[in-house]
Parts: sequence; C-alpha cells; structure tokens
Amino acid sequence: MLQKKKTEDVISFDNVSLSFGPDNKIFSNLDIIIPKGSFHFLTGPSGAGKSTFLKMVYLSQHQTAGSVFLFARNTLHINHSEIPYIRRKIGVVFQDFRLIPTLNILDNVALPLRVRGVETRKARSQAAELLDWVGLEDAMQRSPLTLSGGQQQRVAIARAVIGRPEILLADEPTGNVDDEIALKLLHLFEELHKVGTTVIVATHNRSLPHTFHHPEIFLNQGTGILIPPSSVPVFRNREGK
Amino acid sequence: MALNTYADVPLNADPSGRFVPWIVALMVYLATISLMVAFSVNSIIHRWDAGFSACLTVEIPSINPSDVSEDVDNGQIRGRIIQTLLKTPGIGSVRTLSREEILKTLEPWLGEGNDLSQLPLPTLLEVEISQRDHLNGDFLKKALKTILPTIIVEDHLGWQRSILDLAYSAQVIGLLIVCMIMLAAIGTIAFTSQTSLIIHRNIIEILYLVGATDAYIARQFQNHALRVGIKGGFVGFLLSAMTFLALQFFASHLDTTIFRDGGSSMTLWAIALIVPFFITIFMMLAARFAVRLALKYVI
Repeated sequence: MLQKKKTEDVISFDNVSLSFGPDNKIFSNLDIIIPKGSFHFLTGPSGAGKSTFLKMVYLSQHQTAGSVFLFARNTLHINHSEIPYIRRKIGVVFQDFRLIPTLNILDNVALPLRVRGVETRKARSQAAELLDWVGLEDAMQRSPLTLSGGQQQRVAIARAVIGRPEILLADEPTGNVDDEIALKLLHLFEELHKVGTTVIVATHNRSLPHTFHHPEIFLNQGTGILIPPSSVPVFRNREGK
Repeated sequence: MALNTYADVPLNADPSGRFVPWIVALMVYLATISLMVAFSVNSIIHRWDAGFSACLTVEIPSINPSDVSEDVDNGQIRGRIIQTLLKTPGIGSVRTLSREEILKTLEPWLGEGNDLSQLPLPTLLEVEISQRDHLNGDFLKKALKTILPTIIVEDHLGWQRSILDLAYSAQVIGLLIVCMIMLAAIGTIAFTSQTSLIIHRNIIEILYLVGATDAYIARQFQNHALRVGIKGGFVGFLLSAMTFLALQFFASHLDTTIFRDGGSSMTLWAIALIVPFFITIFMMLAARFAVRLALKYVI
C-alpha cells in the first residue's frame, strides 16, 4: 500500500476482494484510499467493477475478503439500523436514475429530506431551488416518465445533492446526455467539490480526468490503479500488477 | 403521528388492496353485530338470572305408615325435613304454606266456593334459596328421600341452569366470532401489506438508498392501513347503525326491552363506535409489525 490510511480518509479499501463464484472475480486485493474532499474519476472498461465499487461504498454490496472503511468505520461492523444514517451522508446518482415514477420530480428530489423527517413543505421548497439550479424549474410537477434521459439525470443529481452529502457518487452521469449537458453536469460536481464534498464519478470516458484535472482510479481485471491528473500510474495493487 | 399528505409508496393504486376497505367494512359490521348480540345476551342472562324464582317447593304427601320404617307422625317427619333443609348450604329460609294458601293454588282446577274441608292436602314448604351456586339440588333430593321416599321436590334448577348455560354459550360464541373477525382483519392487512411490499420492492429499495429507515417505510404502510381502516370502519359503522336502528324498531313492535332500554341502548351505540376504532388501531399495528418483519427477513 503506497498511501497510509488517515482519519480524514472517507473511503478506504484495504486488501479487498470480491467474487461472485469461483469463475467470476470482480476485485482481488484492491487497496484504494480516497481522502476527504477529493474528486476522483473511476474509470475502466465495461464489467471492470465500477458500479460494484460504488455499491460497496453505499453499502449495497459487501466484499468477500478484506476491509472497506467508510468514515473510518469498517463496513462489516455497521449495524443494519445504522445503514440509513450513513447513507444520508452519501448522495448517489445512479446510472438508471432510480426515480420513483409515481411521484412528480419535485417530490422525487425532496425524498431524501422527507425520509430525514424534514417537513414536506420545507423539503419541497429546497427541492424547487435545486431543480432551478439544474435547469428544470418548469418541470417540477411532471412525472419522471415524461422526461428525457438528460432531464432525468439532472433530477437524479438534484436528489443526490439535496441532503448536502459528504460523499457524492455518480455512476456514468454523462452516459445519457450530450456533450454540452455532460460538461454542465460535471461543472455542477465541481461546484460541490469546491464546498468540500468528496466526489467519485464513474465513467467509461477516460478523457474526463484530463479535462478536469482530477485523479483517476482505473479498474481493470480486478485491480485498481491510481493515476494522478496528467501523470503516469503511481498506485498498484498488492501483486504490483 | 402525522398522516403523510402524500405517500412515497403508491399503495392506494395496488390492485391487491382495492377491495380491502370493503372487506374491512364487512368485518367491522360483523364484529359490531356479534358484539351487540353478545352484550344483549349478557344483559338477558342477568335479567333472567335475577328473575328466575329463587325458591323451591317441597311437597310432603300425607304419610302412609308403610312409607316410613319408624313409628312417626306427620309433624315429626315435617320437622326433620325442615331441619334438613335449613342445614343445607344455599338455603335461606323455609316456610310452611297454610291450608288456605294451598287451597288458593288449587282454585284454578277445583273452582271457587266448594267445601274442601274434607279434602286431604299435602304439606307444602316454600324454601327460599339464598345462594344458588352453593345449592346441590340432587344431593338435597336424595337427603329428603331418605326421610320420606314419597316426598316431591320441585326445584326448577335443572332447566334454569340449562337455559343459562345455553345463553352463556351463545355469548361466548359471539365473543369468539368477534375475536376471529379481529384476527381475520389483522391477517388481511398483514398479508396485503407484505404483498404490497413485494410489489413495490423497487421503490422500497430507492427509499433505502436515499436513507429511509425501516420505521419510515413501515409508517407508509401503517398510514395506508389507517386510511383503509377509517374508510372501512366508517362504512361498517353505517351498516351496523342501520341494522341496530332496524332491530330497535322491530323490538318496539315485539314489546321487548332488548335493544331499547336506555342503558343497554347507550352501550350498544358505544360498541358500534368502539369496534371500528379498535379494528383500525389493530390494523395499523398489524401493518407496521408485518412490514417491519418483512423488511428484516424478506427484503
């Protein structure tokens, strides 16, 4: 391990392996440390485990070996009843958006606040501000089903950030939008990063780390390599691959 | 507990739950009517119990010397019978009916104004029962028969007890029906909630991912059960109220006080209001418990 785990590291993968059966290894001996307030791009080919990596961070998937530390806590030692409170510190933009089709987009965005017990009217007011921020102020009462992919993406981003998360995870946020919108979305993430949010953006587009000058975690064949912005790899897995 | 202005989980749209308010209404109606009947039977039992004659009659025929082993007369036999009666637990007092009183009881058969001075009459004892539960009628009869085999004891206890037992059984059956209906209502909402949980699994997962607790998700189902309970309970109340009013109307034509006297009428109206309330509360708790259990073990 080239970097030492520090208390200000929000995410730490320590010798983590994950497999779904003997022939389906996703990660083997993965060591990754993500410091607080950093911005990382998570890249790799399809099937490299980008979404699975994010799932492990938002506690939807456990490793088969090794330890994952989240906010300096071993995720295997987190009780079922504590998980919701930890998830409230993490905003996630899912690849498939995961919006509730029976709620309008205003209520979809307000949802993270409502589950925390914020009064509906106050939650909706904050949701409206965020929808304004992502440029969907005219679509608040619409069903997510009537929106384009890009618009749904923006709703998902608004929902992910409404609870002022400490970590923002985005799974292929630019996959469904044109270049102009993609750039706009990434600038939104930059704004959040500037206010101290730890951001991890999973993308298959390897030009983004160079465009935005942020480090890249490149996942491939079960290993992870940390590539500093505009540099060569300095971080390898335990086998030194 | 605040009722959500909107539900994150669209339970109202579930095809599986569409008829639940009507099922609840029917259950509220049946439970209310069963409880009303059980309560009415209870008040009838109390009225009968107090009204049933708290006495028995002992008839001592004129003594035929062959009936008794000892050389005794009517007075001695009567004295021993009265003593036995007074020593028997549950008997308060014994009174010997006068000849005039006995003749009066015979008037319907013998007519008035006849000279009955020569008619041999038995001795009749009116025995007042102080504690019905302590009195063993069969034991008393045996004890008296050992004194005089031809003695006749009219105790009415057997058929009175049979009627009371029947009434108590009806009351218990009524209460059991209420319990079964309550269980059926609870079971219906519990299974419907678990089915809805599976139908809306995707939404539940989203709620989890944005930080919802089990309690928050269970509250969605609990609030839905409350709404269903209120709807079904209101319809059930209306049906039972109409039935009760109809019963009161018919009871007034049958010249009976059942459903009509002030005290029991108030209680029956209270039952009509309380049953939907309790069924709704139980349904809410059942939904909450079933969902929390399912979230723990199923989802």
